[in-house]
Amino acid sequence: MPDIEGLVNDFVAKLSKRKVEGSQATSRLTAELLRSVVSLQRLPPTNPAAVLIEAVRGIGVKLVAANPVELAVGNIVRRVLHIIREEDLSLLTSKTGDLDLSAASDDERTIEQDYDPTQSAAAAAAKSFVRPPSLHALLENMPDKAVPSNIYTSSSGGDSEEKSKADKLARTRKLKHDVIEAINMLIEDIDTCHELIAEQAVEHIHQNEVILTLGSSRTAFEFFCAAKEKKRSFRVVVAEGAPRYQGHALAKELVSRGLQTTVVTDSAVFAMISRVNMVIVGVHAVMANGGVIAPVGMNMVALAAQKHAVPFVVVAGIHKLCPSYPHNPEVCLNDMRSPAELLEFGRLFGVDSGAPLQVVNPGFDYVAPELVSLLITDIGGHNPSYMYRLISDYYSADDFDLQRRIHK
Amino acid sequence: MNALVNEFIIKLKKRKIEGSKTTAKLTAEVLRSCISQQRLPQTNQAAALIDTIRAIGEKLIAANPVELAVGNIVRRVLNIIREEDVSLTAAAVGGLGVSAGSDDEDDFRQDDHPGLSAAAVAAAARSTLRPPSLQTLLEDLPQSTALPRTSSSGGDSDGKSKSADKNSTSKKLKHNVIEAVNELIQDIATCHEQIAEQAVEHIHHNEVILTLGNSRTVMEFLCAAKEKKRSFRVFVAEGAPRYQGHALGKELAARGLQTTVITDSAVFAVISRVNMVVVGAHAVMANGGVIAPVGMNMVALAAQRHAVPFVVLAGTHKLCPLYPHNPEVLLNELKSPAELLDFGEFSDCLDFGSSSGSPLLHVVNPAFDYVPPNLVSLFITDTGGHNASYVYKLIADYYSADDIVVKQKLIS
Repeated sequence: MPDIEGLVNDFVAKLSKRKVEGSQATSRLTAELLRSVVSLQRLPPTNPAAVLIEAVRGIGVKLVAANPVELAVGNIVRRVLHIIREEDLSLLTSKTGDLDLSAASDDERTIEQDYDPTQSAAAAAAKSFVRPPSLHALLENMPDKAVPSNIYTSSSGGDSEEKSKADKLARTRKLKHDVIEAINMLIEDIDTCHELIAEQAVEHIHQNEVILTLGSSRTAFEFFCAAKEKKRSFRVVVAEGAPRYQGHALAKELVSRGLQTTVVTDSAVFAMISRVNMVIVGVHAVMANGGVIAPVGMNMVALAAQKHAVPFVVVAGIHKLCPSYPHNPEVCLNDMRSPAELLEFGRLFGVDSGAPLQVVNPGFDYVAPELVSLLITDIGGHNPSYMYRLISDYYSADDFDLQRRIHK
Repeated sequence: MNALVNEFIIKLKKRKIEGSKTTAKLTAEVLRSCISQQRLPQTNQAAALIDTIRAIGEKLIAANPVELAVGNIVRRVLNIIREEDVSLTAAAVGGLGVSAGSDDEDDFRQDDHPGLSAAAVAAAARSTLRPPSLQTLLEDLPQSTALPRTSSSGGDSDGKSKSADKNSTSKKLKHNVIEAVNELIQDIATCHEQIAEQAVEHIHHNEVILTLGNSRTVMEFLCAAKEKKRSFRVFVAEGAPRYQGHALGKELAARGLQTTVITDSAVFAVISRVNMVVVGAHAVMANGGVIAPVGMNMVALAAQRHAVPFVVLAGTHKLCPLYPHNPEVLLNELKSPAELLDFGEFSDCLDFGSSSGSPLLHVVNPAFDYVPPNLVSLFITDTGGHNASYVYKLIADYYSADDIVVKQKLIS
């Protein structure tokens, strides 16, 4: 049976050697690793959630340190931590409700869906007591029952010692089971994000439009293909995206799907933008303020689009949503790549070092939220100013700083 | 002469003349007749002519203050008189020092006039206190301040005639002025063709053009581009309350252009798909602002919001040397509410004879809109395309500062 340490070290090595390409693949592997960690972790009967959180957090710190540029790793770690907290909370609240009810009602009870109105009221009340209500909870019925006073104490009020111990063991197993189920759902969401986003393509791309994009994003590509299949006739202008020129590959694929495509240099974007109806791009990460980290050159496209009143639409899966606010993102969240991509080293030989030549090859650009018109995610299209709300749904405030020692 | 003028004034007052081009043409013709019938004294002829034209012009402007083209043409004619006077004076002064031989090489249009010394020109210029026109500045010659408008025949014979022959000079002034006014009429008549020639530079393939109302200049512009085999589509905003856009849409469709007629309120909805807005104007003010049919300001604002170029087509006879803050300029004309509301239906609301003495419902039907110069991307005139901030220079070329106020001088 493979142990946790081995698995983690394997993955850390892959990350630090940048052997994993793309945020979707990285997210998936991170989630799978954490799922294995959760299933292999031995949990004590008392306060299993805290131990689990601590374990995942420790591993998460190592993973993030291995590849700080790939923000999706940190996102998934925080998602898993949030899942653990949520499952723990729902278990506790259902346990609290357990005391007031007869055993018969237990069979109808599932953790995910509380059909019993009393149970759901208690659970909702408990949840709202602990953290601000998510938008979904607000829209559901509010509880009218009083909040149980101390839900964290062990619920072994009138039970015998044996029954409480058995209860705790069952609870531990249930926690693991629920967390793994939730992580499975997360992995499925990551896998299907492209399809969910592509479903919305028809609402946004209309007949006889000209779309501009930069570089190569698989999300954007699936978006275009979905619109094409729904018989929309439109043209795509692809900016090549120096220095990696990934736009060439995207253009080739689009042409093979039958879309009329034009490849332009990055500098030609401003010249073309007056004839473009919409800019649709994929990004590397979405920050909490709605700003995006995107392949280099994207800020220029966003500025050109703003100047010509062209909508700048970003397509990104929810796993790219990062709960931190960007401070000096051009430097801190950037990836300075090798100058060899720009200049051949041999060309610089023989140059006298009067003034040394510096070559800067940033991998990413930061686009401010004012320039982004719409963010299309797998749960729908949103304003950049709405991102903070999604973050409170998917992440816990305690997990924002992974390094910090949490006290429970 | 008086009968002619009075007849024209009556026509202007009754608004029987439609359109600035026609008005400008008739004004110029009336003034030409006045000039030719005017008896001029021996000395200081230009001043006498100017006074006469000024008096007539004042009456014409008062007859239809909204039609700024009347005032424009009056001021153009006054400027022509001044310029012809200057060129004749300069020729007369310079003629004293000219030998007969060099006259044959004269060609006024090329300004290759070795006979006129710088001193002569300076004296002539000082006598009229006019700043040099841009064209003379660019040509960099100590030349006469006469613009190409001066007829070449006058220049040639000037060099040959004796400067002391004032009789011939007096006939020359009238003759030159009438020739220049003829040229002006010719320019007014051909302004559409000159503007339409530039259409091909501005309209490209697969473009979508938006316009509002019905402007003959715009129609000629679009048709010229069509004839040069450009394929483009036109959106015509109907231009309530007169709905002249319908007529334009019909004509464009008859010429084979794919046209779409939309309501004025739909302009903002379609502007994101439009590549250029091309409109005509009623008048162009000295600051570059435009007086245009009502609804145009909304189109200009929508175009600015979507970064769409707003191009105004206007013949130079529409170029007014007044600024919009000038109280003489009536920026608007309020037309009858009957165009908007049916009197029969709304008679009780609009009734001034009701108990309170004032009706509850007021109907405002302005005929024009003012579009500020910062919303205009380009002016296309018969002399070419210009920025809004360049209009003041065109005015300096065509008008004289003394003529801004057209009032009969009390002391001559």
